[in-house]
Amino acid sequence: MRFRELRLIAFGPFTDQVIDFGGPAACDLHVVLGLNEAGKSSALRAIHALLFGFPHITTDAHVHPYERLRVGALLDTGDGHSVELARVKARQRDLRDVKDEPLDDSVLRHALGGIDEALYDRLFLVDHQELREGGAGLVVGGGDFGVSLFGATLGAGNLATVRRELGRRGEALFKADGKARKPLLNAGLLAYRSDMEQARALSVKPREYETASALVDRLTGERREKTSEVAGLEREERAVERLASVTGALARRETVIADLEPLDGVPVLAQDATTRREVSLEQRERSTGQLTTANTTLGRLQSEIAAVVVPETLLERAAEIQALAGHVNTHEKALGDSANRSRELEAQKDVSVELRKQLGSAAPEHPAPVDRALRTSIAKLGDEQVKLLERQRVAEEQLQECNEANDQEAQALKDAPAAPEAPDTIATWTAAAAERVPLALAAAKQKGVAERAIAKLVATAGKLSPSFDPRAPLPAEPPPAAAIAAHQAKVEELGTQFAEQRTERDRLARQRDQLQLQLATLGTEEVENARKQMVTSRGERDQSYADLGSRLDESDIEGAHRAHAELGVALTQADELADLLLTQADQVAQRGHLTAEVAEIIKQHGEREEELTNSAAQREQLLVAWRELWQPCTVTPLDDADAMHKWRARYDELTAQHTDLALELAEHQGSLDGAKQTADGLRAALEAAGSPADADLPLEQLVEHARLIVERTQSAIDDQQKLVADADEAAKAFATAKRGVQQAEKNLKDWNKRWADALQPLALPVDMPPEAARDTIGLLDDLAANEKVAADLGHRIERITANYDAYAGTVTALAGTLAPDLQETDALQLIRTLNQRVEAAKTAATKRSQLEDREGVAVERIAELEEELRDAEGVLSRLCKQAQCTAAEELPAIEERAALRDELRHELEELDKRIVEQGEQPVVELQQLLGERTGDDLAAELATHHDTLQSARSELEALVEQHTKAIAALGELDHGTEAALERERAEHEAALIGELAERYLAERAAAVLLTRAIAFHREHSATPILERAEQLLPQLTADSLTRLFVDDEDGDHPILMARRDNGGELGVNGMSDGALDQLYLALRLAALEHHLDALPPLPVLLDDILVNFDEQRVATTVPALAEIAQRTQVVVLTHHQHVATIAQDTLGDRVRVHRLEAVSVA
Amino acid sequence: MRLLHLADLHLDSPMRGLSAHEGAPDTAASCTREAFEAAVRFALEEDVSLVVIVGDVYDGDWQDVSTGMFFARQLALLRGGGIPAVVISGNHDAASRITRQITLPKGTSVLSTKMPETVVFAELGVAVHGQGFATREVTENLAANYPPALPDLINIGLLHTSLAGHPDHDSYAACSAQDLERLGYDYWALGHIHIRGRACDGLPAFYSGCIQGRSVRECGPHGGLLVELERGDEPTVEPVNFDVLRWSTAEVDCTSVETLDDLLKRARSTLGGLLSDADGLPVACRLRLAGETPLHNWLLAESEQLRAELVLAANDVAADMLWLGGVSTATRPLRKGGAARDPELVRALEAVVEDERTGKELDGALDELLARIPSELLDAAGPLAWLADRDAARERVIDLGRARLSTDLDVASAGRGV
Repeated sequence: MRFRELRLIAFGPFTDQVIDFGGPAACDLHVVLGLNEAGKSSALRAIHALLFGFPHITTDAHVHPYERLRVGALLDTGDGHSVELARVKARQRDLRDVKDEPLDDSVLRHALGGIDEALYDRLFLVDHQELREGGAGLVVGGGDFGVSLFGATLGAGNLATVRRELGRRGEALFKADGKARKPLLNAGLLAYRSDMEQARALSVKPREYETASALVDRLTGERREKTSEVAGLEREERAVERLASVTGALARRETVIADLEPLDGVPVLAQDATTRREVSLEQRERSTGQLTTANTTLGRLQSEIAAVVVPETLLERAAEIQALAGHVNTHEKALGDSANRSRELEAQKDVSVELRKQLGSAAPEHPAPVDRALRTSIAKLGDEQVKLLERQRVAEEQLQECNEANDQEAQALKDAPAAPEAPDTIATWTAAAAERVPLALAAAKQKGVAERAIAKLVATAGKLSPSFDPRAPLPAEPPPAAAIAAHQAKVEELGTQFAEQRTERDRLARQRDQLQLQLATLGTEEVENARKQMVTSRGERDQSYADLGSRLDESDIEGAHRAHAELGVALTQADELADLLLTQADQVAQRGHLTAEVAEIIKQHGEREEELTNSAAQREQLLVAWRELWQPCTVTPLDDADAMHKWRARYDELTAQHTDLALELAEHQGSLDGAKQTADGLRAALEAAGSPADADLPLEQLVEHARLIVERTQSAIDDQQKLVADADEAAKAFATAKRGVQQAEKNLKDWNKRWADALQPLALPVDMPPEAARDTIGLLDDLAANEKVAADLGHRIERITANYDAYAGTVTALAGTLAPDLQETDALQLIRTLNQRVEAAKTAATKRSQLEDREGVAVERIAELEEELRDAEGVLSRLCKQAQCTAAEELPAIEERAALRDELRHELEELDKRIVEQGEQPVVELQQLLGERTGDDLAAELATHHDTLQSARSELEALVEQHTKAIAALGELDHGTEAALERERAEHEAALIGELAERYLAERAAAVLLTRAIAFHREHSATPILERAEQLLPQLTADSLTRLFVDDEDGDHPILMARRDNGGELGVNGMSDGALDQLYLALRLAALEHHLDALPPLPVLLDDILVNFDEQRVATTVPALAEIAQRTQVVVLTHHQHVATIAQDTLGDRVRVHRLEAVSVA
Repeated sequence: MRLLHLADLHLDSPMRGLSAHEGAPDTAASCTREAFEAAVRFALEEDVSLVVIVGDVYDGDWQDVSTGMFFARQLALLRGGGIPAVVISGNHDAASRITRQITLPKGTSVLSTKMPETVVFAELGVAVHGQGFATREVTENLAANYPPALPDLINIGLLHTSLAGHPDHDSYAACSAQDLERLGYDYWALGHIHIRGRACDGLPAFYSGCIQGRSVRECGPHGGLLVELERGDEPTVEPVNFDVLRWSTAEVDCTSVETLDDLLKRARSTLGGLLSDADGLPVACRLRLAGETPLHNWLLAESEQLRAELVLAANDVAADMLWLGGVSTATRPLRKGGAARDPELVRALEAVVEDERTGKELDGALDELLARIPSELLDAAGPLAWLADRDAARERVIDLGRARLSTDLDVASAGRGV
């Protein structure tokens, strides 16, 4: 696949720019020259976006908004076909064809031969960063042939670093060394074992439990036995106590039995015999007295009854007489009422005469009330006539008013001016402009905000580093985070190394100082003094020997003794000095050792110093490389990589913000442009309508002006339309009023007819007005009512007179039988007198009846008293029979003896009961148990039992205490969940160990596979790549390095070496950065050509790879690129004019140069 | 009568796979105890007639008698409430010394391990038949020797068995549905399988499942079965939950996720769903990240940070109620151009994978590691069980190494030229 055209339609700073690569050529080499770096980098990102899609967040939307980003291309797909396509910024279906229709990704995937983005970048893209990493990687790998070749083949120049990182990460996780504690997995294993040991320690062991449980069981048995023994002793003690407690009762029992013997023949009396006797005697006496009084009362009552007389005949008719007497008042009242009614009747007759007089001829002979419906109908007709007349009057007034209004409206319409044209066009533009106003105002405001934010952003970016010039724009792309992290790792590693070396150096210095101090204490002066003393001592000893010999020779025994003593002293001193000397000799030997040790430490100290110096130098080199790393983006970095790491994150953030703000700014500008277009349209409409607006008016005032014009025009149109409508309305009102007057007249005519029909049944004249008709009907009703009342009064007077006559006849007949003395009396008075006589007869009869009742009561009382007397005599008789005596007077003595006997028997029963209760055994058994023992005997026995029981109780208490402790000890064994919790923690560690082990094995396996893969590649694929690289290196270095070869090719560690033009050999450690770049590029290009044997030819992108090449090397390198370009398309992106010039000078028309025309950001 | 059917208590068994991090519950170990306490409380409050425990009260390899003392105390509570209990041993109990050491309270019937034994509760009109495990591995058909149903009684069979076999459990006391059916029991209370449910269609045989889930392999609610039994009627079986910590797993779909924030947002949503499904219990969960995402390489390379972020996300959702037990990354990289990979790398790796020397080196690495790993971690239930089979382990290690290497190479070259 190759590019025929690359179309930068809307991307980054580009708009509709086309790079025409042309058709296939023998040498498909292109130099794309972007005079500023942003343009070149943007073009590279555009190619990426085209081939693999836009990233989610892009920095290339600062001119064109996201939705308009588009990169297109005309591609030769490699199979003889071409395809035109474009990539847009969208989440889905972002690949389009020439018609902007979605295009299946497979088209491009096929053209790319299935290569994904990451692999394409690694294999077909070489940039300056990779060259630097590749060069550094060669040094890190020590020029290892296999690593260098495989790294270049994979497009991973830092393969040595990757391999080292794998090892480092693996070691950070696990070390097989048994002493290792620091790696995570080792630490986890230690923690796991510790947790498990702790769990086991906290567990209750079965053996512990068994022992404790067995002790509890044994003590439980012993406790049970002892408890049983104590219970037995307690039972025995209680038996003796019980016997002792009933001893007194048993003695009393014997006495009671003896007292009972003489009372054996006394008769048994009823329990209440004494009471009954006393009650019966008292009753007999009381009944005798009361019987005498009752007989006297009965005689008096019988006399009073005989004195009372009752008229029985009158009482027999009493009911009849009282009934007639009950009607006396009624008849008196009716007679009075009859007189009143006669007077009312006369008055009614007078009223009828008057009414007939008022009605005249209209009065009927037999008046009757006027029919209710007719009367109502006539009343309604009267009311209707009033309303109809009122309506007629109102209709005539309205007709008059409407006529006048109609004339006025017609005149006003005639006088009004002509209506203007409708303001629709202005209104439409005004509405559109009104919508734009808030947007335009907001956009203007937001634009200002965004502009200030951008200014602030730029200022903020300037504060990112002390070396950052705040007046400059945002710097170019800084080094990638990975490179910063790599540097940081190196710095940290070096720092750690430096600290360790310094610590070791300091330790050695301290040790040296201590040893030197120790040496100082082992001075030789003491040894020398001891040696001198020894010589002196030897002299003294020899002198003593000589002196002793002389004395012995002289047989001076006393002198010999003194000399011998002096010799002993001298020998002792010599021994002491010899010991001292031996000690000093040891110190001398020790000093020798210490001296040697100090020398060794001083040597080591010097070595550490040297290492420190080397480390410092390495650190300086690292800082130089660090600054070079930042050089392309014109930033002098701080030494603190972590700070620069944050700086880089901040840079990304600010860049993204910058892009967003630019986009926002563009959107606001778009809103403002739209507002301006609308304002122009509105002005044109106003001018066309003859109301031009001031050209300087801002949009919101222009809208207000237009609204005013629209409102005025519309108001005039509305006024005209209102006049026409009012005239129409007035004409309609006049016609309506006219119809109203006609309708009123018709209604009155109808009413006259219905009026005549209504009066006809009453024979009243048809011209009688409604009011007169209502009055006449009222008189007719009054007459009819009055004559009906008069008739009713006449009937009532007749009924009263007839009733009284019948009543008087009945009363007179009764008096003829019962009271002839009253024959001549008025009927009403007669019946009143008879009634009074009946009441007197009733009173006499009542009195006699009451006396007879009292007589009966007295007779009954006498009979009762006689019965009571007989009962008392009977009871006394039965009591004497039970007591076996003849007279009631003998009873008290017998009763006393019987009571004594009963009392003794009761005591005996109580004693037996108490003895059984307290002794808890039958009396006989207790008597047998007691035998001949006395209370004192029993007390002695109790004392003995008590001691035995106390002893047993003490033993039981001790057992209980032991048992309780054993149970507590068993309970204390239970640690609850402590052991389980430790086990749980161990499980947590185990889970972590599982994860760490997997990670460790992944790191370790990756390292093994990589090492083995490097070896495999070296054995099977490296030779052709190396041979090609050998050819390329002299070209790329302008023959400053004439040959590339492998040292120790057959050994275990083959190393890449180069030969200088002066014949000297050069390893990678001795190469300059430029030479390293060129060596890596030679390997990389050789590997790339090797890939072209297996992969489809895809465009090779070389981004600024010649930036550090001098002109001579550029001139010798471009032919090498041209060779590759014979196999696939090669695109060199650069912002250096000289590269393009030299390429053209060297290759002529075999290279095509394309210039990017980037548009600067507004 | 009302029967509470329990099995597989595994008292004091640890919660497996709950990684040590600051949020992990320290009291997870007491979960099994708390669950059993809840069951006993339930039996007393609901006034059940009988409790049966069908094996695996303890973990066989754990010898802390405290566990047995706890069990005995709980059974004493049942006895205090007048509720008899019948217990048989399972494969774990049989190997446990605790079983032999602890004397259970009166009112608890521990059935024989030598032959089937029947306990009759005349006042309940119930006969319970069963036989415990004498050794850890009982492969014979125990049900074949169970007595036929006693007339005029409700017959309940207790059996710790895998029946015809279960993919997640060892095969013990295997038997067929016909073996159980021919005995004519009214209810079969089964143990050993940790999932609750009916064991055989058309047969009143049920597994109560374990009382408390102990690892991510035992997700969802756990507890026992409340069984209503009347002679001649089909039993009414109602599941009752006693667990105090709920295990869950969930997959977070990372398809098209482009930022860590988006991923965490999806993870929070998923975690919230797990919590709301857990009946108000705390949840220990494992997340699996899946789908094609541009974050793939980052997720693999920064697994530590990923875990930390997800732990924080879980804390955001419900601190002290939600614990992340593990994260597995099964995402795929976004392949915009296709799936072809570096031919030289592929060729070299394929060659070295087959190379005997590679195998020896990896074996060496495995040996070094295994020499330091306690054997119990390599057991079937251990976190490194996969290392036990050397050939399979080597294969997996190679896969892990290839993925690691591929990621490192991609990460190392990321951002080039842009």
